[in-house]
Amino acid sequence: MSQTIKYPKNSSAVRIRLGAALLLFAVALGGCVNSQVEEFRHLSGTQPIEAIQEYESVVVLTRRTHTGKETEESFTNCVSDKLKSGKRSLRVTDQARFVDLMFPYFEPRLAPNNLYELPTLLARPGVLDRMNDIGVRYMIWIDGSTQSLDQGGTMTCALSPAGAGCLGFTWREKESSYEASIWDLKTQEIKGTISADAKGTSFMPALIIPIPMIARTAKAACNGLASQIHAFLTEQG
Amino acid sequence: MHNNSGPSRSFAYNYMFFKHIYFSSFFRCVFLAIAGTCLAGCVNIISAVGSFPVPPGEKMPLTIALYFAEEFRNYAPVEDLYQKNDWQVNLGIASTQMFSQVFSNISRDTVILDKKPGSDSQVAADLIVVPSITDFGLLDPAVTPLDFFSMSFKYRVDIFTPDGALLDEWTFNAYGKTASRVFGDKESVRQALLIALRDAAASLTLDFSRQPGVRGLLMKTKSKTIAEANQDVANN
Repeated sequence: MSQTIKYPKNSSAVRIRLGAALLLFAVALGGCVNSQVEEFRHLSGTQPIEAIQEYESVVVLTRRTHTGKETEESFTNCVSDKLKSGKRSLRVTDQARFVDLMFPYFEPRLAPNNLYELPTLLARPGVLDRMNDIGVRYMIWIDGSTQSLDQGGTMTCALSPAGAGCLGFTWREKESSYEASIWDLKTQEIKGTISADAKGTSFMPALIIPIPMIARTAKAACNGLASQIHAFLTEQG
Repeated sequence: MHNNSGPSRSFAYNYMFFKHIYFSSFFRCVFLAIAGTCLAGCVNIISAVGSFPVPPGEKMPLTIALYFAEEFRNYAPVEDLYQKNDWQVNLGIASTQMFSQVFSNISRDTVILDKKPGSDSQVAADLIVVPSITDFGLLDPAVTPLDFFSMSFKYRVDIFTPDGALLDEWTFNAYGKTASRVFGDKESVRQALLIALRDAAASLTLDFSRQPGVRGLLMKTKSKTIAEANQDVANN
């Protein structure tokens, strides 16, 4: 008696579906990875905070130095995009455009490191006029980075004529620590400092196929920092 | 019965021919030589055209003549790396473009000279600027404990009066760094070059007018302009 085995008509479509399901599963698990965000708001201005007006804009700047680890530009862009989006969006001047318009005063070598350097910068010929033309009221300096704290586990992958696969388990602990310093150009004061820290552990178990479950600590810190900056600038202090 | 028809005979013939060549010692030597040349002699060539915006404030009321020597224009240092592709940076071309653009941004007028200015000829400009590159360095994360590419170079700028007398001699550094990327080393080095050029442009924009000889000339030009303006007011 013969037995007929029925193969799926289109095996590549099945493989695509299986791959998509695994990807969705990994993404769903990745979303479950725990990230802690701690926010800290410090008010330092002598005058109460004025809520930002519709015609005023903010610029989010990366603290760039020739020495040490720099803040990732992708993080600054993430904060800018978050401030621009949503129901009560802010007018945000693009960092690259601002740095070009203020050239060369915001290049790494020359950018003001603290508020005491701001009056000297604004007193330079044409700087204040250019700043007023751009319409920037608040300058937000972002400092910090995402670093890998610890990692472990092992994974072995092999390739043979019969097929390929991986076996093992690895993990990596990451910390994203960022601080935003808000400078008011109208009153020439630091209005406040907000910080966001996010910690998370990414896992990658592998049983034939490795499934990455990534802790998006930088994204969590970006969301936390952007929402705090938004509240800081839109609520009357 | 064995079929000895055209296509199959041709396939067998070709197969045997390539097999013979592939296993011949001559082919192996040639293959190894080509592979060795490619691995040892490959050079990544880096070129960049920077963007140097116009700074706020007024331009210097001077006409600047620029002379780029051939060795400056063609300066392309090579950073030799052990067991890795070397880097060749076309710094002369990028620097020529940077100096031209920055001086047209900061001065009233710019002239590019074809011939080296000498004491025997007078140039129709307020100042003659002759740049040169005196130092270059590129750090590759493959050979350093750093996780970024960094590039630095040093310019020397000789400033002459229109009759060829040396007025000022000034050196300044440029520095740029970028994080290394997976499969994107060439772009990282290009970005480091662009950042370093922008750093040089920032120094040139701010510090050129602060050089003692240039500052003296600017003071003279300004007082002359004020005196002429006062004379015009008095005449009217």
